[in-house]
Amino acid sequence: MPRSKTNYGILPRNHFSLHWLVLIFKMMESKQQDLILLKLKSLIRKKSVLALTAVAKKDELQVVEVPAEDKVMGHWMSVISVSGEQLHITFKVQFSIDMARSYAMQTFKNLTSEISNSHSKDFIREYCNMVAGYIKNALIHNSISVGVSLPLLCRGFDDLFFDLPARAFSGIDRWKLVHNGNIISCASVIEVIEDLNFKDLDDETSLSGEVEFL
Amino acid sequence: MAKILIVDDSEALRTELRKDLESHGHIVSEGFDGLDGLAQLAKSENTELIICDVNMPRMDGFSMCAKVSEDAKNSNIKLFMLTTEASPGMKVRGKEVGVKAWITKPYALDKLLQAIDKICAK
Repeated sequence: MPRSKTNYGILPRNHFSLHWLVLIFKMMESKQQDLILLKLKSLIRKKSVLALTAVAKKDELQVVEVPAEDKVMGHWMSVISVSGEQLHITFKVQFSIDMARSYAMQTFKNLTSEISNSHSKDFIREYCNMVAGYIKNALIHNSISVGVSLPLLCRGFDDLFFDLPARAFSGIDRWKLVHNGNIISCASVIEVIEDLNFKDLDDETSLSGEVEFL
Repeated sequence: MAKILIVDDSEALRTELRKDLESHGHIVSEGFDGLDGLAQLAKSENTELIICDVNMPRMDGFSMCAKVSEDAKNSNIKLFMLTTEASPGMKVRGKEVGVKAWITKPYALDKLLQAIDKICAK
């Protein structure tokens, strides 16, 4: 019996077409998912820069890519979660006390030597809170309902043990923010659970510092 | 000059805001969450304004403001929210518990001082 070139030889012709349609659909879906992840990663990076510029009063922050193999960049970490039914975002900052102190200088209007360890850590904690708030506002503007956790501060890091969850589609992004050689390392972990539709993630709906009388 | 209570779980924010307000003649006290804010309020006299955060451990800003507003002896105290939250739904909740002004972090000192003058003069 002659060997059929593929298994499709024994299947009806329309099954062959269906197979390709499914494949094409999956490729399109995968591209759409990549695009959503890319937009979210870009949003989080942008907000991380905006927030640090605002709290540390430092312009001209440099964003530096972090190679995938570099996972430990500071011995303190602050973590905050922005999550809802459609997605979970974890924003993390790894830092050393000295680096945090240099960024906190403007906030405390002190010399770096006069800023305590506790104030330095709290500064980064509040920075995380601000980034999460900015992300939440952008998502809510796009009708994506999310809540923000309280920021957590801990010694150590989870990146060596942590892996992406195997559900829906997800991604990790890592970058450093640098000013005058002072570095803090940021990371975002994004898990998308449901399809998302963005109108305009770049739209700034809330203006920091504005006072609205109720 | 006003007597102001700052309630925020961020020590960094409280320190910065205290320095800014004191340098403009205001008298400032601090609470580190909603419960501590209520305790500080009970201890001090003639507080005119409370500036508080929304998300705090133990007791959040909405719950604290609701407690302050429901006590008749606090009827002269004005409430400001200073937070990263900016959604319309949150502002509605704020209004319901007596918040007079909503400020999105990070604050702009000149605008905050103007708002304090405006609200406290009423």
